[in-house]
Amino acid sequence: MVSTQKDPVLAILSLSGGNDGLNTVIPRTNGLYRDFRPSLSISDDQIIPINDDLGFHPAMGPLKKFWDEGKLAIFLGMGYPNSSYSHFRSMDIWHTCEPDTQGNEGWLGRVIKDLDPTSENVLTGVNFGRGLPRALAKDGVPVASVGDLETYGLLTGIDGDSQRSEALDVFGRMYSPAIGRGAVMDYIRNTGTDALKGADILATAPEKYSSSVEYSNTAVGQYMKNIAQTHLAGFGTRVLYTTSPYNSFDTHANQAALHAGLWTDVSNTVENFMGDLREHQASDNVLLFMFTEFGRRITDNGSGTDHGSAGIAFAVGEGVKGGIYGEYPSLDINQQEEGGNLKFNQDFRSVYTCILEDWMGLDAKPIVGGSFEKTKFL
Amino acid sequence: MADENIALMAHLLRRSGFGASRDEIEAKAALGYQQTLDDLLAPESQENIEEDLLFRYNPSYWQSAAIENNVQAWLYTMINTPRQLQEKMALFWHMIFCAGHSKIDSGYEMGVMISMFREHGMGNFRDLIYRLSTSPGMMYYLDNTESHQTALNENYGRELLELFSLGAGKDEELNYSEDDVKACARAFTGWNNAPAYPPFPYGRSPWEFRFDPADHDGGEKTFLGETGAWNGDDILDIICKQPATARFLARHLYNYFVADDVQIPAWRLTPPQDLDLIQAMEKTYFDSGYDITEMLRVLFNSEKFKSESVRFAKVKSPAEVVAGTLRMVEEHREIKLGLFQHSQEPKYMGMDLMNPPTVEGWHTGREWIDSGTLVERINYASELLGNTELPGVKGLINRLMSRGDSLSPETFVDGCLDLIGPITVDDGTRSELVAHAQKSGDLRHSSSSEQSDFTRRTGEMFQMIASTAEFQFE
Amino acid sequence: MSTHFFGLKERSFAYSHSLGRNEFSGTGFRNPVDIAVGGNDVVYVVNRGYEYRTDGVHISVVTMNEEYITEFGSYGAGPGQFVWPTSIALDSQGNVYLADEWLNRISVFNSDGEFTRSWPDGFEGGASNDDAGRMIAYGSGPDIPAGKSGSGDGELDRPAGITISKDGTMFVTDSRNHRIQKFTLDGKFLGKFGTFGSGPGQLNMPWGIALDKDGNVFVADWRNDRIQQFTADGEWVASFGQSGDGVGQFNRPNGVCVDDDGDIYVADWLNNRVQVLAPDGRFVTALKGDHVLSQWGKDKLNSNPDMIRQRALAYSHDPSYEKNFNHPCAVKIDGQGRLAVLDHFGGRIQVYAKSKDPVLV
Repeated sequence: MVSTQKDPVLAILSLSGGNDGLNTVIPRTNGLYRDFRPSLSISDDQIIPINDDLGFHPAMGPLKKFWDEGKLAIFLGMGYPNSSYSHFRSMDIWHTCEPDTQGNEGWLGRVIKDLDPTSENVLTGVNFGRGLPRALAKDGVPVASVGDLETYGLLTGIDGDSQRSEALDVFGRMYSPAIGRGAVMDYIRNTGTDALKGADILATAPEKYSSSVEYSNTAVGQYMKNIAQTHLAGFGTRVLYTTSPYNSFDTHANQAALHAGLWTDVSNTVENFMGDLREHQASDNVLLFMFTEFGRRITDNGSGTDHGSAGIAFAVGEGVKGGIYGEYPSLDINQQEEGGNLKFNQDFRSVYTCILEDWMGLDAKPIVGGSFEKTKFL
Repeated sequence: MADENIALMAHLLRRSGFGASRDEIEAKAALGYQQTLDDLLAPESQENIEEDLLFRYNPSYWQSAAIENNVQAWLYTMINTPRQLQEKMALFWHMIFCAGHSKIDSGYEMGVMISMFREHGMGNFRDLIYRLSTSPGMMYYLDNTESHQTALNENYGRELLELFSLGAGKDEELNYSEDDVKACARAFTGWNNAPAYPPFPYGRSPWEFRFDPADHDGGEKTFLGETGAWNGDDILDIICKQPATARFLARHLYNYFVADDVQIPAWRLTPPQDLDLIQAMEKTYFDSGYDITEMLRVLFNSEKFKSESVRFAKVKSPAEVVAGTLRMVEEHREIKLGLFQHSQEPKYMGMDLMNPPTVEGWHTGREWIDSGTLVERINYASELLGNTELPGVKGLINRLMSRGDSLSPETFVDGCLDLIGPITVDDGTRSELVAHAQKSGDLRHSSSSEQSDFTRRTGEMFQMIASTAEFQFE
Repeated sequence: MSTHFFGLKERSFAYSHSLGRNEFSGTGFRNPVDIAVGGNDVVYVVNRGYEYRTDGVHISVVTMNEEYITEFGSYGAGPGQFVWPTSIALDSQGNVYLADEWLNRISVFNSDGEFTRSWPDGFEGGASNDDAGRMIAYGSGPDIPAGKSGSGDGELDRPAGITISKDGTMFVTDSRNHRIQKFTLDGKFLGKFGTFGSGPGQLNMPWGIALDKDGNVFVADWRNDRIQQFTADGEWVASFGQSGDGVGQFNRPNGVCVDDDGDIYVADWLNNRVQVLAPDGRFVTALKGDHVLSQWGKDKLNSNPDMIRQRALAYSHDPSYEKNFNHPCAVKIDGQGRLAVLDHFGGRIQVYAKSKDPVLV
């Protein structure tokens, strides 16, 4: 267990819905920012300065601490050619690294396959949330999707601990290899046995865990806590994934209040997460990456912002070389992408390449589908 | 022992629809196999769901751009339509004629496409494939809107042949050449869409197919050996008269309704499981002038379909797990709050309805199952079947009580297996269930405390049966 | 009694403007189901939202000139919350009454949107609404049990439409009891009329309800595809219309109102039109919708410039799609005698002005 703890671990928080980059890392000295955001610009005295030109959204104070420590990488102008305004399609592209065709295999599925080719550890990759994100999908790669770590498992509907544990014993015996009715039945029995094994191991994570950190009672807070619990339990899990509530960052209306709430939650949670790992001396081998499927339109719509293209991503971790990577896309009307959008200047696969090669120690090319100039932030 | 009439009817209703409550199974069994089948094959003779009520209580179902509302409305229809085979066929075509929200980005348009499958999926195949080829959603999904006289995009032309009609090959032969693909794609140039409203500010408009003669390549083409200045219509005529098309349809219907076949890419080199039945359906396809309902009639009347050998020989799709369990326990049989969460469950089990992973659709059979999706399937079905407040579950418990004042553990287990199937499990599985039941002895229900114990134990036994490997089949 | 429909007189209605756009909150509406127009051009819009987007469930307060004022209320079973809101009405003091057909209750707010009371009394709310709920994907709300329903005097089963008379009597279409109930504004039962059926005075899942200036009651008798007129005491006066899409025929009419001239306006829901009937029930005219871009609609397009062109192409191909009503569900007359028509779809209200003098055809 001690040796596996040193293996690099990747934690990912997907900010679902398309986070508004312009009001996250704000070009506070650019007059055009306020011109294009008559209803939604944030006044300079509230912005938390990052450098001479940029500043954080006022709710991002806790993240600023990691910036000051030099442990936060900010990726500007993130995207890919011919950006899609569809949540589904754009998320698929970030998940599969296939902007031109519809892929059904995820980049993290490939990572897990490379790390554990024979699926020796059913918990090499774990997703927190219902349903498997395409990023983690790959034939023959088992990934548990955990709706709630405290109650995860089979036959969760049976009341009473002793009744349930008896039922699980029966389940274990019913699924044990026997003379089956054929290959499909045998396959399902093996799969059920694996699932039971995985659930039994995961169930121990909350029991083993104690911490002075109190996460917020939000989906992001609780799932990031589950990620910390799973990491600290030492199951050898290498890829941990979760998503903010579906489309929560899709701030078409009432953005000012919503966006502040979202970033309060995410910033506090990241602070709690890193604090929790540090308290347990378990932060050294964890890299946290946060991304969103696209940014939002430059001009506000009177109350919110609509789907756009280039966006912003973040990485936090002890191994991160803090700094700004990529350029702030121009707001100049002549430099915008058609449709009133920020033009991307940094392919997301450049960042993936660095994560894969310099953190996970894997060959990036087959995973991201080609060679991309590496964004060296580690 | 299970009554064979009940067992056969339960099998018919699981396959031709999304299963049924025990009451319905018994009522249909009393009606008889033939009458029930005739009703299923004539959906117009059956009541339709009450759309006015559906829109009154869920105005969001009307032309909704949000895919979630369309999926929710579809699940409602699967559970509640008396026209069960019609709905099962809508799902059948959705799983073959794949288009997905990920690209289309209009739930409304996906809803329109599913409605088209519902209304025409049991009609004439030539008519259906023409509707598909003029479906604005499909034209966009497979890039035919980007295919021009001067710059050909072969995507639709290719998938029409490979995935929608002929199939790649049959009896080890290839069904078409690359030249045929190109000829087909040329014939479909100009099959395009009219401009549609953007999502903002008032919502999307329905998309509209529009043929643009100026963008059509009217030149001579040779397609499957026939030469002419073919337009898309002519191509469809040629496709429909191919034996490969008959084989493709027969085999898909067999795979969907009778027993899991190998995955589709292996069909060229792997012969069908029951060539006699496949050939009988092929013959009907031509004799009836491409009538899909007539092919279904042959299938459901076949001895093969009725035989015990094909019962529980198919792995349930996630849609079948969800809609089938809801029908069995009689939940959401009226319009009420809470259906949304159920409508997301197929996705958690690996079947994101209206958004198949690629144009090739979902891999079916055992590939529905992995360690993540198995947990979802088991927990979903067992939680509903263990909810003894639900009307369908109550009904089953009452039936079980009526089987005697005192039930031995064996009688109890066999009774439960009968009532939620009838389902046959391996001896090993049965003896585990019996051994479990024996720990608490015989079941009685004369006092109220005995009744509540009976109810609790039955709910628990239903949950355990729902967790068996056997329950993953239909 | 048979009623004849002839276009003997022509009122002319001039389209004035539209307000709203599709939005889950703020400057737009999402699946709105009813409106009420108060003094000073204030409009209350009831948004039903989606089951999975309960943030869309609230009452928007705007003006007829498309100024955003505020919004209040939210999804849930607690005080001042609602699940399936259906209908809204104002009393003479400007208090706001809202019917909820899932919780089977009427909630009352003051004109600032502060919750004051709800009835029937003794209603026990469903599940708590404080679940941070990871299982609640997509911002859908908790699964709230339906409110207690009943068919006794003063009990409700899916209240669908409400309206308040000048003397402070509330009339409620109690839809699954197929009747109208009368209450004081504190919820005290005053009377009832109507039974299930299709005969004169009988009802089948009634929805919208309105009063004329003399206090006569007009009910959108939804599944009977007709409008029925009663006296304030519930005596049947007349029935107008039958099933169909022809002149004077209806397909599930759901909204109704009467102006000071006695002209009757009907939201002919599944026929996508508003029919205007003379006081005696004769067909006058049908409005199909004349929408042009609202200011909030323009704002939305301006921040999505690629859609300006997309819309222009679509509009030149088929202008009627944007202009026409799409499941109109509420019709109301404002203080200036203008007609406001609300669609389920499109998140907008179209406003018409009626010319003063009837015109002979």
